[in-house]
Amino acid sequence: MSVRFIHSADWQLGAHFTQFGENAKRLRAARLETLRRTLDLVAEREVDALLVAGDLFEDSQVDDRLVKEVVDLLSGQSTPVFVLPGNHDPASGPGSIWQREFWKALPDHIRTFEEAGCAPLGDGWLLASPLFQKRSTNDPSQKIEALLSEVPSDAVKVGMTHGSLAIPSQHQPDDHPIDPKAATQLGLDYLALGHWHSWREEDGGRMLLPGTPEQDKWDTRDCGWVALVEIDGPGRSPRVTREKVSTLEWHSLEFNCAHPDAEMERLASELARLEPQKDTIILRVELQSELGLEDDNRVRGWLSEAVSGFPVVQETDQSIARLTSGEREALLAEHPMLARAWAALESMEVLAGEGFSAGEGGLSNAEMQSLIKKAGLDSADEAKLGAHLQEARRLFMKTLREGTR
Amino acid sequence: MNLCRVELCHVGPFNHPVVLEGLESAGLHVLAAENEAGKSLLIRAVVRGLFDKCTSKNSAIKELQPIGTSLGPRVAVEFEVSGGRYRIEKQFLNDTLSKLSIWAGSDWQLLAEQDEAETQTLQLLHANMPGGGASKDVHWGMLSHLWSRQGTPTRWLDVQGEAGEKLRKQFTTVELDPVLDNMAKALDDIGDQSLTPTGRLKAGGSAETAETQRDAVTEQLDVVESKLENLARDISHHEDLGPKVKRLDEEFKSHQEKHSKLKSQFDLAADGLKLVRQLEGELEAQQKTLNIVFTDLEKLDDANKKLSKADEEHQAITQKLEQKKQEASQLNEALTSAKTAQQQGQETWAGANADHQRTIDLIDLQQKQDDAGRLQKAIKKIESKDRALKGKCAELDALPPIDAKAMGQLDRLQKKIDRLKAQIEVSGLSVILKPKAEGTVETRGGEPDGSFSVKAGEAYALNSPDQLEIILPEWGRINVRSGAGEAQDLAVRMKASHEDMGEQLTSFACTNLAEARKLLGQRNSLEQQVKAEQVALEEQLDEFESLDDLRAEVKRLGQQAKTQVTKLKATAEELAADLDLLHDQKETQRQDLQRAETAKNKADQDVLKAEEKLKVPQAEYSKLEKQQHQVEIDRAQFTADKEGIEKRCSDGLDLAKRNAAGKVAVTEAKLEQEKAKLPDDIESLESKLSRADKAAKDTEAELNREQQELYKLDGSIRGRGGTGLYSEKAALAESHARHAATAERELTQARAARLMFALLDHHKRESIAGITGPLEEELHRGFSTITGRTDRRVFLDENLGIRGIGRDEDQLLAFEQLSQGAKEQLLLCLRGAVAMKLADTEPHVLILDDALVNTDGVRQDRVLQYLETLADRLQVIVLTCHGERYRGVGRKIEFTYPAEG
Repeated sequence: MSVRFIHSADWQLGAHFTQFGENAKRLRAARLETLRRTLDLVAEREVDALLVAGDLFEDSQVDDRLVKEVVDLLSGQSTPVFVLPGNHDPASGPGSIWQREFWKALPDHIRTFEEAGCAPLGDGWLLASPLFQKRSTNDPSQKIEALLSEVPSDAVKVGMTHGSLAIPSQHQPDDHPIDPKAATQLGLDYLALGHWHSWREEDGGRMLLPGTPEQDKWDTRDCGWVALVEIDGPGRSPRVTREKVSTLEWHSLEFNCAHPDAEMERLASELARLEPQKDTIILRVELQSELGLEDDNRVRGWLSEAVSGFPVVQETDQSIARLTSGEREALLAEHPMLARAWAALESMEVLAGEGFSAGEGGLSNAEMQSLIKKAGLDSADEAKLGAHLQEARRLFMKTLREGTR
Repeated sequence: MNLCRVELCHVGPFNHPVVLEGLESAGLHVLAAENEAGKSLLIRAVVRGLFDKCTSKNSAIKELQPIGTSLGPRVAVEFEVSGGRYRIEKQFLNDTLSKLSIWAGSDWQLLAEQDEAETQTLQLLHANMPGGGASKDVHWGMLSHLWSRQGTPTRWLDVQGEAGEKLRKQFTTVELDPVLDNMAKALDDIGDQSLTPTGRLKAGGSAETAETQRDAVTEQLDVVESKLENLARDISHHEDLGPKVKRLDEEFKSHQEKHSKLKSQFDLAADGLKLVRQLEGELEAQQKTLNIVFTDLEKLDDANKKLSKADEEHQAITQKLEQKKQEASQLNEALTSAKTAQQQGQETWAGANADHQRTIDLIDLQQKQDDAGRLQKAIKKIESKDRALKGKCAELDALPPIDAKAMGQLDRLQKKIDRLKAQIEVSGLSVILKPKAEGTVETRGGEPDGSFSVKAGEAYALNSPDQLEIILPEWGRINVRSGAGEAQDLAVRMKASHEDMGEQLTSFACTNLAEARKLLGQRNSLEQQVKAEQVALEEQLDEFESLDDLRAEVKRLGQQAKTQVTKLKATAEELAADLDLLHDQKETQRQDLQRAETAKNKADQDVLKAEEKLKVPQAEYSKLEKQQHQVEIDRAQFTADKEGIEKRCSDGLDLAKRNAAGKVAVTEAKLEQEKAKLPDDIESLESKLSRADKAAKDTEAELNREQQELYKLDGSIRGRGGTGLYSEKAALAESHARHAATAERELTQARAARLMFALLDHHKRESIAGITGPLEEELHRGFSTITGRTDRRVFLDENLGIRGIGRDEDQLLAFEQLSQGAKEQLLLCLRGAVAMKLADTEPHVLILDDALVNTDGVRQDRVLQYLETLADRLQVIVLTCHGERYRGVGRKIEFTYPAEG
């Protein structure tokens, strides 16, 4: 009377990754690779079935090529797969992905619940309640109650649906809210859920959101898993095991420009550690703190070289271009006119947003306003002006370096 | 450097030596000469003489050669520099030489020759000359800046050149930081990659390219978004349509069921209804027959009543007719009586009228006879007057026909003769004869002509136009002749006038003018008398035109009287009757006639009245006759109607009525019986069935329509599913983000570069302002003098070029945008300002060769004022072909030609 299955959700195949530009394709491809791995795991663990608790696809309008790839993957193995339409890919009639010819041509052991229904799951039963639309205030788990009469009462009963846990302040009312005690209330042995992208257990371990099998954002944590679920008999607590399936690893490194040498050493060590998996690493490096004239060139040059082997790198420059005191003195001695210009630039930055007045650069308020206007900028737009002043400082340093070379 | 003296030979138009001298170290010098006189060539020759090698065979040197010759140009320039006076003399092309001398107080002392002379000269002038050819203007020291060339007054030599560097060294004390320039250029380049000079996005620039790509993707995204929206709308519609179709299907089935039920009920009731309809038809026909019988009965009764009434009317009309006939007979008799009285009145009036008319004719006859007698007496008197008038006329006709006009003509002829005579006296012969003794003298061909008596001691004037023969008795003949032709002509004309006068007098039977005037008096008197007689005669004739008319009237009256007597057959007594008696008789007869006429009119009126009265009964009679006729027609019609009805029902109308009423009663009973068998809602059953049928059909139509739509949507949505709109959108969104980030980065970089550039430029300008400030001040003074405006400043760049003019730098009008006039004035001022500044250490010559070609008259005057100011400290040489513009200012200089050798 035991039941063993792999529970996954929120694959969101075909998702877009705007911030990664050309590398977005790589991220999309990785998700298919993860599905392949999961199917391998399914075979390896000899489970009764693979459950996809919603959002296999990012959208109902993904292209046929992707659908065909998924169909090929699923139909290439023999373990039953139960697919539940989620809020990203709801069973919304002819427009839904489940009505595609490719999908309809899937073999019988791949079943899609376009209506609420039951299916044998190992020695037990699966009771599935799909979503029909993107948003709803209804609890989709309630439809499972009506299905209970269709299965033997003494069988292991596994529910499957998709939505947010109705926990105050953690969900939206129209985001398919599900009672966090739904499994107990419905008398289910286990309720397989999907929707939230991080691993989360509820109702004494009878309800689980396994999270997305492949990380999709820098701030998504505790993901990259599928759940191996084993239920020994009706009323027995499910045993849930995390199984790592993700293809890519997201790593974010910070570089404190105030201590460039120490940071270069530290970062070099970190990168060396990641080096063996570099093809599957999504790397972000954040420059922080102030960066002087000489260090700017040195640090940027070093960093560029250091990360060159990683295929996906995001450099986030939060550093502030700033002359060191020694550089300022040297500038004043060798290029007094430039030193005055630099001082004026700094005073602009300091005074931006607080109203300009005569600063160290000896510019009057009107002169500053006039210069800003000449450059086509608006002194009232502080954020934009700040970004431009930062860029101006960087350009000053760059052209100064080149000009004195 | 100042110029002191210039000598040229074999230069341009100067085949022979020419000298320009009289140049002072300060002052305004004006060399005014017509075009092609060699003014500009002079300066070019000076420059060649000062700066070029004598061995140069450059085209600039050859241009100095007189055209068509192979002569070698020779130039000698005397100049002052650094407190000394020098003379450089050069011979080009042939027999080349260079000699530099210095004035030693009394004579020239040779300093150097050939190359050395040229090198020393360049050193003196702070110039150099790389190479061995003709020098370029950048090698001419300050002269390159202080000589405004003809044709290019608005050109300012770049101070980046060799001469410019020297000039800049004169003015600048602070060197700019080259790193700043490098940075500024790099920043400017970065800005230029994306922005235009005015800060707009540069077409084809980095940012614009990225934005264009981004916008192109945005457009594609919009299309995909639009498709997705359409799809979402269709899906939503599909979701709504599904339940609707289901509902319609149920509704259609319900309508079909209802219709079927009603149809069964309707079919059952249809047979009973058919029988009812048949009975209703029969009943309707029977009721129609019964109604006809009722109608006939009513018609028969009506015909009987009308016939009886017509008989009564006929009888009454017959009585009235008889009555009217009697009335007419009585009135007819009265009319006959009135007509008799009318006849009598007519006859009485005719008799009275005839009497009255005869009396009038007799009075008329007597009056005619009286008139004829009176006129006969007047004829006798008039005939006497007529005879007297004819006598006077005959007397007048006997006189010659002279009148005032002819007399005037004679007087004018006499005056002409007198005038001719006086003229002859003046221009012809005139002999004064004063005899001592009385005697007779005869003259011929003069005036007087013929012999005449003379008295002793009196003087006689003898005149003749040309020849006078005087015969003095007992003495002899004197013949005097004159050669004057004019007097002869006058004599001829006077003779003709005499002849004319004679002819005219003769035509009036006169011998002289006095006779003619007397004759005219007689004629005038007679004419007045004739007129008076004519007036008297006309008064006698009164209304008659002439005596003959009067006589004809008398004759006519006599004949009329005679005819009237015959016509009237008047008796002697009547003819002799007194006229007054006749008038009395006429009055009496007129009154009788009037009375007869009144009686006659009354009789006429009576006849008319009788006739009118008779017409009334006659008309009424006629009317009654017509009424009687109509009644007779009606009686015939009523009789015919009655006979027709009686003929249709041979058994009688009452029997027919009973039969028809019986049939109706039987059929009505049957009908009621059949109706009772029909269902209660038989009337609405059919419409209910019809409504149910229509509802079913309508629902079916809507169901089909919506189902079609649903199928269509289904197909459409499925068809679009495979196109992968979301995947397309995802790829586009990623591309869009990439291009947007690039555009933002490029634009931020460009604007930041512009900001940095502006900052550096600001500091650079501040530094430059310290250098160019004094020069700008001088320039401002000069330009204000010329333009008369002090509100605009002139701004220089670091190369001492003019950036523009304006109130401040932000409102600068660039030099390139100024008018040609303003440009040449500004350049003049810039040269003036530079020269004035240089003059602090070394005097300089400022040469203006046609520098103000575009300057208006007002500013030209101000320019003179400005030049005079400059000339206080500078040597200013103006070359012009408009000498009149400089009249009264400065010193006039000109070429002189010393004798050769």
